Amino acid sequence: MPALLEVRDLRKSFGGVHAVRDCTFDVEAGSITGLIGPNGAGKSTAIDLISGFLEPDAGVIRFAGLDVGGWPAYRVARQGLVRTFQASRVWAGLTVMENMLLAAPAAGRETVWRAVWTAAQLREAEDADRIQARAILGDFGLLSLKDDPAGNLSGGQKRLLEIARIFQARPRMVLMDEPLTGVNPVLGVRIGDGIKNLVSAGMTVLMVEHNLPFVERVCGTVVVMALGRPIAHGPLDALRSDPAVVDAYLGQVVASV
Amino acid sequence: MTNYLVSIATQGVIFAIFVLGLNVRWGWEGDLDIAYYGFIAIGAYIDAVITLPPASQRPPTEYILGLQWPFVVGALAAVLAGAVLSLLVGALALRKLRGDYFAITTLATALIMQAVISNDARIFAGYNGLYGLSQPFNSLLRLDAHVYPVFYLAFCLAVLIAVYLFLERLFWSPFGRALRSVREDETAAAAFGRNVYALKLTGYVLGGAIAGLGGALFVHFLGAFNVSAWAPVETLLLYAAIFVGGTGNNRGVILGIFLVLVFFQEVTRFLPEIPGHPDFGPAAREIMIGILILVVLRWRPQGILPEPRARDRDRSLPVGAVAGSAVTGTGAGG
Repeated sequence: MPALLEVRDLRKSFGGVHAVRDCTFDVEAGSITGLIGPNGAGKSTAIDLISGFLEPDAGVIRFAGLDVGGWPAYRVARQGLVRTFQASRVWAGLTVMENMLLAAPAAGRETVWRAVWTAAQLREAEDADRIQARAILGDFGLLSLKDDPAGNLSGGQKRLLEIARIFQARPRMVLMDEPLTGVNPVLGVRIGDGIKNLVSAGMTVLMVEHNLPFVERVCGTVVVMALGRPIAHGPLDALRSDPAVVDAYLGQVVASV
Repeated sequence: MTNYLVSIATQGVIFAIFVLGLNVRWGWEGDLDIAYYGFIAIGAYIDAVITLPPASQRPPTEYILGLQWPFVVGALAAVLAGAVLSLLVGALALRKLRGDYFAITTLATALIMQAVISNDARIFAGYNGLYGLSQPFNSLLRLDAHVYPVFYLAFCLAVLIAVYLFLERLFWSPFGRALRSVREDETAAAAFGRNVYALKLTGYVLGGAIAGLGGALFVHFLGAFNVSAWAPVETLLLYAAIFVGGTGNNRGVILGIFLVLVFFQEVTRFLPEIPGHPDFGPAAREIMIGILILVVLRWRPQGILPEPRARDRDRSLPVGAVAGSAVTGTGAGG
């Protein structure tokens, strides 16, 4: 059985800078894979390429058997590959509940035609989404805020809402770009639990994160990148002794952990 | 006096239709469109050349078509023209351009439209203008000159109500919500599977169709139309109404247009005239509209009636009755 996500010889340059090159790795279904490496290693670029926010210069991105390389982001998302961003991106002027409803896959519902002629049917179809959204918001402690604009939430609450939206969307795979940015340690634990629960609910996670203790706690396996290419792949524990990894990145950091 | 009030009210109602269309583009979709008045003009022109008799009967003016078809056909063609032209402009302008770049492109679009129509007098009679438009439905109704304006006001009001109800339904629909999410953060919208370009283009076409419809009503209200009847600056009056009334709120922008247009345009007519300064009235009007915008932006930046917030009403079960946990309850291993 092939991996859920297969990346082969991915390449992307910005002018003379090779942000990502010879990038090949797999993400197995049901895993939480960490993507780590020093600043400028090409981790975020790799996430942008896989999620369709950047177009690769060369290489293959195969998701669930489909070659999605070069697809626009919205089509990649509709295949069940959803991503989050380094800075929180909630729809600030819309309510928390609207944020949840917008995360639910609503293919075919968002047309002018249906809004005019089948409004009652649409409301009924949406009731199921609302019930699910309320339950999820309850789990994240956001239920009492459901009618507030998402822009009014605190930084940590926005992060929780982002994970809540993923639960609502139920994609096959989630790409997370530094989910702990701007989050205090207590909330970090909750977010870590949330991410583990994503996998319990049948999703697969690939996440860029600089906080190595967090990565060690949450991720079963890691891909280490340096200078645009993966240099090692495996459980973080085993990689600590890998000389290439230590040389590229972990040297000082491990010492300080 | 009654004639005067009916005339002002009709103008207000037609402008309310205009502003509802622009509110889709700016309020819902978040695109600062300066070309908007051009789409109104296209609607007015297309309706005019379809309902007017052939140009050969009216030398020296020249214009295309001249089919003398009924108003309903002209109005539908105006809607279609506004939509098709929006599709062409939007297909180019909305692909990559955002913010200032989009606004400048639409400003250029409006100027090009005006330059073409004013310089090629064979299309819509240029500066000579189109005149002598029919009174819609009056060939059937045969109302006299005092009564017809009241009927036309009622008719325009009915159209306004229909457009308003249509847009209210749309605002709360999944489509309206998706369009507003694009306004709030289009990157996140794309990450959750929204085709941002298609959504924006749909909103833009919808706005253009409403502009075309309003243009058709407007041209029969005026009875004549030429290039000097519309300018990009007119769009700014509509923006003033949106800012004052409440961006994104259908009811707010209607209130806004009546405040800006009817109240300020008309009330300033009664200012004392200053001998030797005939421009004083119009200038005072623009200054007062400017002050009104500043006052609203300072003390009520979201407008008099801000965009309504969706309330999640539970129509089935109380919240507590939802069984179990959706997050932790699903995985066997938890």
